Amino acid sequence: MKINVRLMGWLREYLRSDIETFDDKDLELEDGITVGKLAEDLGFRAETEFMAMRNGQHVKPEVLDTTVLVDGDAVIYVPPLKGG
Amino acid sequence: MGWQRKILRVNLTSGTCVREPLNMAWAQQFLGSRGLATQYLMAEIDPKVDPLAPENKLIIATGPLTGTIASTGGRWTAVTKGALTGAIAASNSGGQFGGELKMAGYDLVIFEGRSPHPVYLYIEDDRAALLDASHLWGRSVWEVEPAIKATHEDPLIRVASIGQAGEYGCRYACIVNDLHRAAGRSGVGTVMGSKNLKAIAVRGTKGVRPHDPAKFMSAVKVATDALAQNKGRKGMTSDGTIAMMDVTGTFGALPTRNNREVQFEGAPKLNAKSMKAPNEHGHTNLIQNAACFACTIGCGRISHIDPQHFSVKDKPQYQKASGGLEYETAYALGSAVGVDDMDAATYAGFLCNEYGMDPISFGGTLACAMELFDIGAITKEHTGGIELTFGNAEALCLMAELAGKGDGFGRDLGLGSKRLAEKYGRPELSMGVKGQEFAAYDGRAMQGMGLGYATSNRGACHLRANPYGADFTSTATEGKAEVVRTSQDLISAIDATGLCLFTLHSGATPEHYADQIDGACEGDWTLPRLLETGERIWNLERQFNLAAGLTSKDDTLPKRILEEPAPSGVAKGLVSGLKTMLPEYYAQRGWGADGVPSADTLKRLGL
Repeated sequence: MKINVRLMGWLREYLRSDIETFDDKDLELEDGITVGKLAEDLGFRAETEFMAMRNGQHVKPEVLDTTVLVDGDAVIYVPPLKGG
Repeated sequence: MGWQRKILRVNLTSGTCVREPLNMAWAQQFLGSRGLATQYLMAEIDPKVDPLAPENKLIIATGPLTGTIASTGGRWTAVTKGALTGAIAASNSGGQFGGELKMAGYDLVIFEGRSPHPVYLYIEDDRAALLDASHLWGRSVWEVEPAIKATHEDPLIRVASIGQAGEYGCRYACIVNDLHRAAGRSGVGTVMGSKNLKAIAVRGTKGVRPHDPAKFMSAVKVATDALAQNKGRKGMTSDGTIAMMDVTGTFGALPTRNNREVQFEGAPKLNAKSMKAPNEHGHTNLIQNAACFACTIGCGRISHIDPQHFSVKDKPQYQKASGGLEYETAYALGSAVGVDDMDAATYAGFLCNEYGMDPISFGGTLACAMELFDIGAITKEHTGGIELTFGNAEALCLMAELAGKGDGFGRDLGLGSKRLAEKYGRPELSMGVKGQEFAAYDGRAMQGMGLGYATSNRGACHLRANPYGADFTSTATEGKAEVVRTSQDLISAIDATGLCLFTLHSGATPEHYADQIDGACEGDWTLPRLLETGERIWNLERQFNLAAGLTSKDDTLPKRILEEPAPSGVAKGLVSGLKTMLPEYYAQRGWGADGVPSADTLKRLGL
């Protein structure tokens, strides 16, 4: 399935070393993957706090691993930006 | 020591400058800067005073870590009764001025009375004098600073001054130091102007001695290392605060066109990426980042405007490098007024620095005026023939000039949005709290920020609470009162240290502040003590406001945020849940349902 993934702020710096860096990209992913598992696979979940949004709605931290992505979804990951 | 144990008391009416010992009992209780200066203000003025009367005082304050090598240890605060709000004002700035003042030997400079003619204060370590500034009156910040340096033949003098905005009484005039850093909010520059005080110029050579140098150096190293390694800090260095534009724009938390909308189609033209990208002429807005005194973050932006841009064509003085857009200015001079022209927003920001105006309040007031124009409450007769439409970049640039000088319709803009909206019969269209315009976050998508705005002692402000993580995770109101309350206390303490709040966003932990203070100052400064000091400062400010006549009715948000559902984004269909959160917040604070701190709370905090 195809999922649009956007990485904001400095999250791209935490991408797994074998993944080419990107800000906004359509990824081909296996069915059943969750928002949390995708963050894990991309490499930044273990490295930093982050926030996620799926199709324009917040994904609360407690449901990261139960929120299953489906074909055509758009997911955005945001680092803990504050202030400004 | 941390503290210099000295106050400079400047009586502008009599023209005297007297050095006094610092009240060390108060220093132990309120630490420094925002906290200590507020205690002095509370003790020395009637909070009911007219902010522009000679009886109001203006206190320029440093913290125990100001002037030290602690990362970001260059902050200073202007504390007074705010001209914009009638509430406590505590406006914080960076640059080099604060460190210089501290190294001259002063924790606080207290200005009282009103000079019969324009003056500036000149400090050289122990020597201080009021000098005639008649020749500087009517001149801009950008003219005054080099003129004073030339007069004293010393390029290392640091200057904080007001521009024309502070002279004519623009309600949101700021005090600008080092040309483009500012104690920006609440009209502290207006108070300075009302006292006929044009500038403060200082040269300090004494240095600052920590109480326990070894302990202090060790704590500074730990804290600085943490910043060095932190990805958030690296993001602040490379992108600046404007990185937030993509986030709020995507979530639907970006106030747009006077909060009618919460997402701005022009946001991609005002973000970190576009700041670094060449335009059609090959010109790039951003030149480099910049750091304040002792700062290892460097979030500041240095920009220049395309010489072919309409705003600076044939104006070489504006084609040079100066302070560029931060997130707040990109909002206030961008989405708030519907303008997606980065160079126009940069130019308007330059003018705010030059004339000495808070760009957040200027942009918020112009956005209000644009909505009034849109509904016909303001017409071209009022504006001098200008089409004050949302998105009009030329009008933004012109109005920044008029408001800075107080000319034409600019004089109305200088009232601030609350007074402007009242004047034109639509008070509900002022987007602010306690008369101070919103910062760059909408209180519907960010429920915690809405509560933070409503309860901020100095009026709407994004630097008084830290609900970002909670708000970017959920639009629910549950738990937000606690996040807002605890972060308000921590931030009050950080502001009192003399360090920059952005350390908190760049990898510092609360322990880092406590450990550095413990090394710099006498007394055992544990984290619980530091946090209690923050809570004491917050309650002291509250006491000032209550004595000034503010009540719980002032802890509110505009009708638009309370009753009009957000039109898009994560909060589509939602309004602020302030009515739910506020009673919970009061209860957690140990305040009554009327928002008044209980006797037990005041006793516990030693107030």
